[in-house]
Amino acid sequence: MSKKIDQEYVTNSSLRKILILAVLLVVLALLIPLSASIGLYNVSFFDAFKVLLGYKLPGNEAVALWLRLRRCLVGVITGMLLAGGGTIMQAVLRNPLASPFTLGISHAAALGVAIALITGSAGYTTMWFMEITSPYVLPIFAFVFALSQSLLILLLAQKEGLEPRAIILSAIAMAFTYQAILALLQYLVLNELQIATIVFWMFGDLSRAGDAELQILSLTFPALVAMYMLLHADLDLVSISDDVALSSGVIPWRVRLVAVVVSTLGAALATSFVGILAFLCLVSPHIARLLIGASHRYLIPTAMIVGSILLLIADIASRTVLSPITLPVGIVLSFIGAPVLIVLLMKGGGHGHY
Amino acid sequence: MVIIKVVNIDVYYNSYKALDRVSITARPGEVVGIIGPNGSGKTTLLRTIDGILRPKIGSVYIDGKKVTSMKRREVAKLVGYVPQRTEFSTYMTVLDFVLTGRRPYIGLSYTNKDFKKAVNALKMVSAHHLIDRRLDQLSGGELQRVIIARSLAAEPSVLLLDEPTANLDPRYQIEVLEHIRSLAEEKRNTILVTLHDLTHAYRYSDKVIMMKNGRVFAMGDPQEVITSENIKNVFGLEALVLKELKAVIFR
Repeated sequence: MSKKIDQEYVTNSSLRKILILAVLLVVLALLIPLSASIGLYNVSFFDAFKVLLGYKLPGNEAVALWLRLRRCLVGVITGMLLAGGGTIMQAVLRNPLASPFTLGISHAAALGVAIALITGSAGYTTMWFMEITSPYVLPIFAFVFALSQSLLILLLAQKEGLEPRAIILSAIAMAFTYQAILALLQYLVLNELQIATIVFWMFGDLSRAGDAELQILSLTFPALVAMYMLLHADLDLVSISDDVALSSGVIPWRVRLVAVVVSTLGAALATSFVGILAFLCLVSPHIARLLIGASHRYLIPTAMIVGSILLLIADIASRTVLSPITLPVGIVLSFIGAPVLIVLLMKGGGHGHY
Repeated sequence: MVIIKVVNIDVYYNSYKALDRVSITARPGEVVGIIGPNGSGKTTLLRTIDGILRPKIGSVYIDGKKVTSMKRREVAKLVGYVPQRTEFSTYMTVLDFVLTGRRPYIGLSYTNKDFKKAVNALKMVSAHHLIDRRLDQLSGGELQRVIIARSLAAEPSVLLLDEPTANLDPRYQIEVLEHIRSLAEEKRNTILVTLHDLTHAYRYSDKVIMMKNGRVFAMGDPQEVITSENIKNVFGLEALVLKELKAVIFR
């Protein structure tokens, strides 16, 4: 074949992938105002769109809309952080079942947040602690706990050489331990009101993040995405095999360490503001892989957008299914995600695609 | 033009001694066939030459430089390593897979030049038509050629191939070996290749290294090394070596 055809092929193939990415972005861009326009207080889709473009709306509408838009934006960012983190963990552990959720990292982060709340390090006096806590303390506690869990997993994978399914099972056992510690704290230390606070907190929910939280998320988010993307070529190599990575000049354990710290940072940040969002980080990379293939320079952005879209859809469902009751989105995600995990396990679990 | 010198190396896996006082030399344009029973240290030798394993005693020199004190990236530019075929269960396309071989040269991401080199590498092993297939959709022979193409994408001067003909039907075995020969002859690459088929080793190598229990049992021209006596000593098999046909037949 001639050189011209090569060039055409390469451009066509990347064009197709960029097109898929663009379509997903448009879907996401439409979902934000759609999600913001759905709810008890009636706001039209176009009003929501207008606000996004910078127009001002009168009084009540503006307040209602901002609350919903904030919720959407928090959803978009946390969805991206979690899905990106899942993609990276699946690559470095070569494990299609890996994700911050299935590896117990989200649970460890949640325990960290709960301890921060219980010990008062983050400060609270009423049920609506989010209004008065110092939002910076939560992610730090979450990150410290989450990182120790991540490093434990890495150690299990590297030193013990556990096979993919064994790693997931041990991680689930560890997640149970974290939940038990949390239950113990609730039983021994807390009063009814505090228990109610923590229990409510454990359901993943987008609405609890306020302006300060959104600000922290939007400031750290670009840096995290940049770090995710910088890893793309190394992730490609490490996901093939350690010897292949080494022979191409990449030291696998170094990539693993950096990748796990970065993705844990993202997962801890998301978990500390919205609680545990089950399965999102596990499922999004798989959907993205089906859409765009396994090369991480496309896979990471695709998985992140898919994560946001899924989270927004689940959020819309959580607000409409039992309307006027608004469910925590974490519950909806668990109902959708659990069957997907079972299907993944049946399709070969540890030996599937990653 | 890169010379490989392995000087008196001992390599251990924990306390198990896998290589025992091994010394070899390989020159540009030379295909060095490495033969020996399973567990005789063939793979260990290749991994040590690429600097993946560290010898306890002795050193490996690539182009006069000690491989263990070079940066991984520098080694990766000089040496292409094709591990024994493992499972590549991924949705990666052939092009994306071969592109990963460009890693030692890339900065933030792949450029147009990297794409061109990847396509060229695929052409070198006549696997160019497979470019947009997924790895899991390839036949054994196709996958093997694509894996070799990946190691060629960085345009290394040295190629280390670990059983490139394993699991291939005879036609693909010959095809892969022909490609290896032409890389040595046309590109003047230094090539070390482990083989199980003694006839192939005889026909396609300029030099043969016969290994036994982590030691070099015999080294030299194919007709000197592949003899009935050596085969009996190393493999414990009675064999007939037909010199004029360059073939080995087991009784």
